[in-house]
Amino acid sequence: MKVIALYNIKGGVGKTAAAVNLAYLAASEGTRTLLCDLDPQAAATYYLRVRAPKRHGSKRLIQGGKALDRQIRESNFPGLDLLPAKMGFRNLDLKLDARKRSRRRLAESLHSLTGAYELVVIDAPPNITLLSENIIEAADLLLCPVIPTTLSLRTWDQLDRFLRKEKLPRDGLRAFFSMAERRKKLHAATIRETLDSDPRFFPSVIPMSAAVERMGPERAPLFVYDKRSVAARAFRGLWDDIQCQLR
Amino acid sequence: MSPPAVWWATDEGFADRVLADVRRRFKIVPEGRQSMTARSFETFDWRLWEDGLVLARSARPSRWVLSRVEDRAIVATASKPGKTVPQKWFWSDFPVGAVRDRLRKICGIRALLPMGRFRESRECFALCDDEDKIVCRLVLEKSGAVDARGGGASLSAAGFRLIPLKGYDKEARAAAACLAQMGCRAGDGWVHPALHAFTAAGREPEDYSSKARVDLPPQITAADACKRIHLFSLDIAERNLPGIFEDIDTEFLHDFRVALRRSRSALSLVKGVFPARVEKRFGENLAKIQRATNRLRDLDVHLLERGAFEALLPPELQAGLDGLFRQLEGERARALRRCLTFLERPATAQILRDWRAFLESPGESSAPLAQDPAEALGKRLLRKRFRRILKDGRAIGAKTPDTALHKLRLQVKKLRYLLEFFGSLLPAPETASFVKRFRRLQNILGRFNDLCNQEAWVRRRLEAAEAKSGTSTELAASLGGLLSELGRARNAERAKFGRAFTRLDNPSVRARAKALFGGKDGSK
Repeated sequence: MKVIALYNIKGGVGKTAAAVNLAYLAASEGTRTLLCDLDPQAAATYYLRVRAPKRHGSKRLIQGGKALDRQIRESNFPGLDLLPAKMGFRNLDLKLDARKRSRRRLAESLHSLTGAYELVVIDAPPNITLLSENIIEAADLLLCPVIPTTLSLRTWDQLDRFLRKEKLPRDGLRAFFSMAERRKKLHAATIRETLDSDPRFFPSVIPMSAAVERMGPERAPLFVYDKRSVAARAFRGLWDDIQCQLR
Repeated sequence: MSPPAVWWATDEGFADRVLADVRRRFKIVPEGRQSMTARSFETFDWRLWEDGLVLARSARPSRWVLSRVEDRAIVATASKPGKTVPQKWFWSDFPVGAVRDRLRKICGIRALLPMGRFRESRECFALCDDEDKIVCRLVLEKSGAVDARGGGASLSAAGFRLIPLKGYDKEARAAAACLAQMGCRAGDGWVHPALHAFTAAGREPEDYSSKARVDLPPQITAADACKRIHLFSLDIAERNLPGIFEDIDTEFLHDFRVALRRSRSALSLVKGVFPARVEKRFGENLAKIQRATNRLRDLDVHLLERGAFEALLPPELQAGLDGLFRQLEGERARALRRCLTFLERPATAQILRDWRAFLESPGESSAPLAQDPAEALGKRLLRKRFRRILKDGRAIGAKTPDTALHKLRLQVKKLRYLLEFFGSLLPAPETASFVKRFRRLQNILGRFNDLCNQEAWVRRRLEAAEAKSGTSTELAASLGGLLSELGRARNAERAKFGRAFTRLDNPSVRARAKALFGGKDGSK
């Protein structure tokens, strides 16, 4: 079982859209996939039209095994299941802190799902907390969407420094450009320079796109309503890059 | 707990009723309909069906599908190989994978034959909540036979399949409640679509089995019982004839011969029930038919042993076997022609016709034991045979020649036949546990006999090869290697005899025999 986590300290960079669309692509190719929505804003859960179960919270998430399995919901799409998010997750840090080996709890909890899934995609909340550290520990691929702007690149550097300082695993750290506007000269130049200098960036670039924004009103992965769009093609390219990396 | 997966209904029009009812609770979104035409395949003796499986080859998508009889759930699929489509399939003709593995275990050396075609359609409905999240699916399944000319099939609705979604058990239970309320029944009664095909092909599941299962009523006379037993065997023999003529697989001839031998044993074991001239005439005639098939069967057995022989030899000694088995195949083709020529002769058919005419004639026999009760006769014969086995078995020691074991094997076989004939007149559970006691000994003696035969055959082949100039050294090396390995295996089998026999020759089994067959307990 491989774990991909979509993570950035900064919010609004296209994490959830990427998590939902990549998980959908994996499932449509026959990979048994679980999308974990760990962001209390529950955007991925909303996109997949799932209502979180009433008795659902951070305790069960950390417990793993049956308690965790019972919270999982099958999506409308074959092979794609969802662990819905809930406001209860905002307490996750406190719950984790109270436990031993507090950085490895999530990895251990997800490990209990090994037989059931081949791939876990995590939509992580945008901050640096104990939960983030758990996600970083659990991920085989820590995937960071970066908007091609100076500020965004600065947070990418911050993340890198943070991992180094906290001695967190950095082997799986990768990034891709998200919400890129080709017409903006600054965007194009940033993309060009970064791709040349930083091999950790995947070559596929996800454009800023109305098709992706429609995921809100459509409440579905992009491929369900507009599989021919430029953005859909870009996500397919990114998924190919990721598969090469995971292999 | 999740609700049952399959729901069936007996009347037409139930589907609309169910959907109308479900619509009151859920939003229904049709997800499309798939239909496919498939040809079902089965062994002559229903091995797949007995194992709860159905094999079908669908045209679009082009693949093999192995599904469960019980609920039609797909167990495994395989892609369709090549363009040439043979009439019969063996497991080894299938592409490597789960289907092939299952077939190898279940069908063994039996061929899979086409058994009619069926069409099946599946219409899927998604049940959604008010956020348009799918919470459950219902699949309406219909099926029907396709006639031989490929003409249209009229599909009749079989029922709904309920596909729950993970995390939505409550909704699945609610959908199941709708189904139950609308008169659908869960679980059993579900008709596999392949059944339509079987019926159209003139077959019915388990309409053939080579196992002897003659049910005799308690008060039956010896003559009537014997007639039924013989008729049963004759039916089996005759049903296998077409398969022998088409040379479908080796089991047709095998079952045919077992049926003949069973009848011949009955004639020789149960004397005095039919007039003496009848016993003599048909005993000889049936033996004549069986003799005509001996050579072909021997060659079948040797060809089937190929895998076992190869397993016995190290790779460097296997080379010589190729030539040997090629030669055997040539010999088999000739033996088959000779055997079929004999079976096709009007005289052969006449023997079987006369035999049937005699068995079906109502007239009362004047033979001395004809009117005796079958039960008493059967018990007497079984008692005698059991005592004989104990006596002969006890006389066998480490130094006794092999022939004594072969003779004992025949005695045990006779006892087994007698149990097959008269078993239905004895209490079932006790008989079963008695038979179980015998099985191990029977297996050991059977394997021992096979190994002796193989050894003798290999030795003959080796002698013939040595006598002929220009024989390859490879062949001689292979045969020499086989001889020593077979000898080793034979000795190992013989060493097991003592233990197995004591399992039989002990007070508890003797007491069981006494309870079953009456009379003395045989210990004397």
